[in-house]
Amino acid sequence: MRIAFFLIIFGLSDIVSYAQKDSTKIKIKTPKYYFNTTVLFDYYTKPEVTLDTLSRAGKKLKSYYIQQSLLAFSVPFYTTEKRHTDSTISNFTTFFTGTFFSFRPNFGGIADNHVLTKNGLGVRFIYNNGKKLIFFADISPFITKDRGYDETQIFRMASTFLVSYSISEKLNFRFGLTKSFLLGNRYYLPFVGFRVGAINKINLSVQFPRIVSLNIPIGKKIQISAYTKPQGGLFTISNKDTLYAKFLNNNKILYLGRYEFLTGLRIDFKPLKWLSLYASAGQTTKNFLALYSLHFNQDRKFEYGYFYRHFPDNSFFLNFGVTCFFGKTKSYYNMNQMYESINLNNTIGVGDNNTQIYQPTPDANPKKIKKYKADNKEVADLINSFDY
Amino acid sequence: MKLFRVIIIIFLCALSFRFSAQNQKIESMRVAFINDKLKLTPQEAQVFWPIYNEYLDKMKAIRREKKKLYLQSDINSNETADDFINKKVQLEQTEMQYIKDYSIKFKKAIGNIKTALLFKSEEEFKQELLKVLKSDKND
Repeated sequence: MRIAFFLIIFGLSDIVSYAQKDSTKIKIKTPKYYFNTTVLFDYYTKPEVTLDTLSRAGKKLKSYYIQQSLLAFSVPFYTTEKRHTDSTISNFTTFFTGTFFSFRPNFGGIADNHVLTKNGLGVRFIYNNGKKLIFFADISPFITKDRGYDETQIFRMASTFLVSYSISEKLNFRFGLTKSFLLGNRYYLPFVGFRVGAINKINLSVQFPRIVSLNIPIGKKIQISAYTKPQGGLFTISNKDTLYAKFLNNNKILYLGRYEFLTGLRIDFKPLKWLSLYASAGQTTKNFLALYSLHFNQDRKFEYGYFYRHFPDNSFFLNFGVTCFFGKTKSYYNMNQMYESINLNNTIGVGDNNTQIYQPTPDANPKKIKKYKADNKEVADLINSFDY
Repeated sequence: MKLFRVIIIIFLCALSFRFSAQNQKIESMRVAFINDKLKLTPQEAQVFWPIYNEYLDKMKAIRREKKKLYLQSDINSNETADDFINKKVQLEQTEMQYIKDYSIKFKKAIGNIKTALLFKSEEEFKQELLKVLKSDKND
């Protein structure tokens, strides 16, 4: 059962059907999707900072340092295309997404520390009208819990709805709405973004509330970015350490909200068609840590009210990750709207974790290559064997 | 044993890196070559490239099947020979059908002259690649 699940996930079901086909008939198989199946691993850490000693919770927690890891995947599973009377092609792609997130807030005052998890499966839709508009929807339900304390398990739903409008390949706007827990609380925020500069050239991208970045590609495999972005989440944590002493029977579970703004440099390197690596370092600013009472907030529909809040000092951070791309995609040379769709998909990242993926698209106006060294085998693919 | 595995993985990665980089270079040469020959207007480019990409995917798939047929066929009896010939004919017919179908789509998108120029430039591109090969051999 598990093997079958993974075969479906990674698009290997084709191999099975291929093996079962009629041996006398040749079936020409072209790629089905414009997007790769993507698997991402991300790790983030920041060093220990002291917390306040004024409040009861602060005195108990004393200090904290963060370690977090994320495993995320995105699998396109349905694409449909329509050719319009003006010969443009619109396409619609549906993705199956998943995130497995583990967050360790290592508090200095607690002996047996917590591991807060956030795991979810979701869907994503991208409709590209083939001209200037792209409609994007991401629905990411997830379950957050304090590992080892099953009663802390809570279901949440993050989502993003966007419209992307490209005036030209050098100017793009994005508008929409997002329900996010990224800022350590439950927020319904407008999404407002723009990008100045072509995707594969130096560009400035401002995507509120996700990321502001200046991207500088160096060749076709490396990109350096200066960026600032929020990172965090809203988790559930067991009150076993009596961080909140009031109404103890009703407060066995607490919410922990946390975010920080990461400002730093990131270098992306894509050595292989199927592999991309990145490393990033810088300073965290506007650090925020809060605890919310579940009992107190049970009837709240929007933002939660805290009983403990602290703004820890700025500190250094380190972040690195690996992205693997699977499967052959349909060709999309010179299809600017597909470049925009891929960029949009990678900028938003999977789930509510604000992790970006680097995937350079083919150069829209490549320069003529006059001299190129190749051997017979490589060129053989492109030359019909009966031509010469 | 572990070290051996690591060496194998590094070797495969390096090999795959080399081939994927080479193929990407050839593809971007092809795009540059066609761009240069056709001189499409922005409106023409908008409708031409999606159709051409579709055509390219189908032709690539045919090439892959042909390669598979030539490399994997073991012709050692009348039946296997017959099977090989049938598959070969099927592939050639499918390829021809694609060219027919897409020439209609190209004509609609960019007109007769540029469609003819496209097919001509595809052949010229192959010639260019062969020239590069020959000049490399002579160097």
